[in-house]
Amino acid sequence: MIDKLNLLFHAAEESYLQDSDLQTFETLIDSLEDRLNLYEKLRDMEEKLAQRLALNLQEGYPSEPPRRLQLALQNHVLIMRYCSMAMLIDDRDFLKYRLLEWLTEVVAAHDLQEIQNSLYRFMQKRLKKFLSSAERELIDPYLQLTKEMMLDQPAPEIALQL
Amino acid sequence: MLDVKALLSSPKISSNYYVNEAYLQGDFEAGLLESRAGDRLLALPDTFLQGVYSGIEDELGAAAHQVLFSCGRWWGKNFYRRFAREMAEYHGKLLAELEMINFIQSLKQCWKAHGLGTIELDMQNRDQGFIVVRSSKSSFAQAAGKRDKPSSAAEAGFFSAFFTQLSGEPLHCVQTACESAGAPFNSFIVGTENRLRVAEAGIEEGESHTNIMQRLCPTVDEGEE
Repeated sequence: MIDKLNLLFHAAEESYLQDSDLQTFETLIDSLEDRLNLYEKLRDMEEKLAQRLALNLQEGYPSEPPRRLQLALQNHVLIMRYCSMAMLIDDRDFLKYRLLEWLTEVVAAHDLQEIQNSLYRFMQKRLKKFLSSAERELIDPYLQLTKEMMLDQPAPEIALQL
Repeated sequence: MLDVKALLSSPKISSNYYVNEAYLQGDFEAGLLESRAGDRLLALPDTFLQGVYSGIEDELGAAAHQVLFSCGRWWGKNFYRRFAREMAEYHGKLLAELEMINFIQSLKQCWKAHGLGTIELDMQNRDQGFIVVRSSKSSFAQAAGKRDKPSSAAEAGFFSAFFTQLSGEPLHCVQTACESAGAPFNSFIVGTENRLRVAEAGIEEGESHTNIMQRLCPTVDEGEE
């Protein structure tokens, strides 16, 4: 959305914006309140959710070194913060280029994909419980993008080179 | 017990410092481009780089390669200092203490953010004392025009100085494949000068990167060109 708006800003010299362009602003403004509310909700539930996920992790991976679980949880917190921000500003590229391009190889190099995947599933369960279906619709595209780019891909070659 | 409170109260969870929109800043009124740490950046025109090649070669002939290599060394040494400072400030620890994957990712993203193309670091032969760097879309190789021999000497000098600073050992670098000679990417081998003589001789004889790697590391099956 930010990108689309930027294009409109750059078009200021051409003419007044057309109705279809103004629609872009309206769509963003209409959904902004919902996005803000959801952002606040996700922010306020961060600690509770992370505590819950930490318990899930410890139960699910009793023999895994705590250092690895801590790192996976840290990655997950980062993912949630970026997904929430990307949802707020309605910008997939923000999530893709700022975080996923970076984190995908880090997760692969630490061989954390499986644990990260479990965290993702635990989290989806919690979100189903605490978010309305309208709210889930807002955040889902970003969670889905994370899953596609980071969790569904085979580990990149770099993991073998380290 | 996982420490959630400590995790959430830490000032930040470090990720990609070199995100384009965040890294490239500017004091536009003063006509300056700057990094997010306030260091000056410069957009260098391609035609100027072509001029550098043509000017140096006209004046110096065969010594041009060595001059560009020396320029690259100067660049690499100072680039390392800036990179190390930026990483230490951002991650809150010394570059040497960064995990290998964070170091590699940061360097790759840093290279991209500066508009230098992309690089990959291949550590497969690290135990034998060699690192292979592959770069693509190199502005140096592009400015050199079509050549028979590798021509991105500034980058070779860069990697030589950069890894010398990083390791604390004097390291040399030889370019073994070049976009200007029709290769899909540029390959550079970093190692000690003594051991890289074989590679330099190989380049003179027109050998491929794969063959040179096999001569340097005979037990390793280097599958890539």
